[in-house]
Amino acid sequence: MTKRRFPIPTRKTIPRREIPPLVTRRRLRRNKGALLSLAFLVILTAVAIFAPALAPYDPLDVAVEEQLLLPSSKHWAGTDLFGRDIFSRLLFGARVSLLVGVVAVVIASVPGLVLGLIAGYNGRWIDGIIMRVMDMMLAFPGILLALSIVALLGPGLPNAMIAVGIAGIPSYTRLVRSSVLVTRRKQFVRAAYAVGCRGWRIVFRHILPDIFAPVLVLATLDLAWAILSASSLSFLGLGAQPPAPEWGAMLNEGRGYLRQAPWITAAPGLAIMLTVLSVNLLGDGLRDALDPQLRTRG
Amino acid sequence: MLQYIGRRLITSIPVLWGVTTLVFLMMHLLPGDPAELMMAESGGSSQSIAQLSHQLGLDDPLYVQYGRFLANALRGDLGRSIFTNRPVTQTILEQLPHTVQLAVAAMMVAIIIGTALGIAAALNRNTWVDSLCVTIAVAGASVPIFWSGLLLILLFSSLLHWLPATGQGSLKHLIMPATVLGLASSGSIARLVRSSMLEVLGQEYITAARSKGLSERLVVCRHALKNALIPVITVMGLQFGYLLGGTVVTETVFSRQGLGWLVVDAILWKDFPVVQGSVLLAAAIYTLMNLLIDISYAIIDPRIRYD
Repeated sequence: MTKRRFPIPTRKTIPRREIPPLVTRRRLRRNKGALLSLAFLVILTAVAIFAPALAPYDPLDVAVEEQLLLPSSKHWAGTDLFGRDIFSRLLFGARVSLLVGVVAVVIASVPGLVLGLIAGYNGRWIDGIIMRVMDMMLAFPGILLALSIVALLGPGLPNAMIAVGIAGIPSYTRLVRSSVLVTRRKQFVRAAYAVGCRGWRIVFRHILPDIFAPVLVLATLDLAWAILSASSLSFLGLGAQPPAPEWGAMLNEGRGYLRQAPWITAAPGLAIMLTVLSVNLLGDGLRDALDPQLRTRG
Repeated sequence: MLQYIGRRLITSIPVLWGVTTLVFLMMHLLPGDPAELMMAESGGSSQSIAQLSHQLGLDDPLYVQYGRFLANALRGDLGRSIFTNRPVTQTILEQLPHTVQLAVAAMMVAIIIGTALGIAAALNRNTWVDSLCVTIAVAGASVPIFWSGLLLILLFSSLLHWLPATGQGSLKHLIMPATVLGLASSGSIARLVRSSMLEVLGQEYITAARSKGLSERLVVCRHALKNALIPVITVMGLQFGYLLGGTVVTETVFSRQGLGWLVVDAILWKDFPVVQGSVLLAAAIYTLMNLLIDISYAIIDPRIRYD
């Protein structure tokens, strides 16, 4: 058997340090902020999952005789107006806030991805219709679009998730469409077409993996927006309803006692800020690690 | 230039039409009968629901309702509030100046803070100053407006008694809301100014300016900054949308009157004509603001006109 003159690059022929996922991992490891954020988010997720086991009290347990207690060894973050343990509510709140964020991102990204793939791959009138609808949706400031959807669906956590998710669809559609337009001109896509691959196979087997990186970065950054928006809706009384332990709703409950009991608002506020900050820093780190321009320079 | 403005004006007409259509469809196609939802609070009978449906024209075919809505919207008639029975347009126009005042003040805060952080980060690239500025920028975008607002109220109103916690009417009332809203928006501007400054500082004309013996201050202020700020104008359009949305929360925290406060109140009372009108107007303002920014960008950077 004769040897190929120009061997096709495979995992064996590419030096290990140049394999794209490994380059990304190395870049991410160098970014201390992103690593710290990832560690924080992993711990937060664990806390959210094991909240029932970790929480010292029932988050909904009312104890009127213990209302507005200062943080102490018994109640680490104090108690609220109804004597509920704020620390326990915070732990359960992590569950709600992370779930809201993730569900909203899924609601935004899955239709956004599908619509973007259809628009980018098919082009023509389908592309025109999809993108004009997206342009219209983008004409609304995000939170206002979410507000108007909540207005129709009614206040509540599931509706807030749907509203925040729908408001996020256009950014995914736009990003995916533009990425598909670039990828479909690449040689490997043309080759797949030339050997007779079906349209759906080209889209899912060849184009989708190529555009996955920017979508992942957008999804991470979008998670921060979703958590902030959903907690804003809860703060306005349009998201999670009392007595649900949601961070935005907890802040709203503590508003009236800002002077007497500032710890009611301090703990959930700090929790939202740290979570959103971590997600943002991780998203930034991922973007830097996945940016091919930076990679070639590095 | 006039040709460019004309072209941009024409392309924004379908968007405005689309926005109007989308608002109409949202109110009519999403699950839930608006009349039933509106009467739910007061526990209205089926007769009163039918009466309200008729009054709002909801019993007409969808295309008739759409035609009427579009024709009325073109005349500036957005219907009447269910609760106050006042024209929605008038109600909105009364609240609009408060929101515009807040959004403009917040935009100024965002530009000042964002530009300062961006320049400081770019001039001290890869040092602790750079890291600090970038972290402040990301942190600013991560703090929920409602929390930073409450913290400022606690500090400057409850403890120090320097600024009024709620209300409006004077500059003192505007300082805290504008700072809170502007800070949240300054992060994106800071990051953009930083990357834009880094790009400009690497250009040949900067090297030429330095080789002429100009002081670093002159090089930065007169040569680099002017060009670095051009991309910031484009992001201002997006930021204005963010600020417009942010006013909803800010107005609630500081108990200020305005469009945001009106929308939240209307949602809670299920006053759909007011929600519909306010959202439509906010989207129209946002679209027109983006149009103005596109035009101003073309004036500042003539290359855009020929794209």
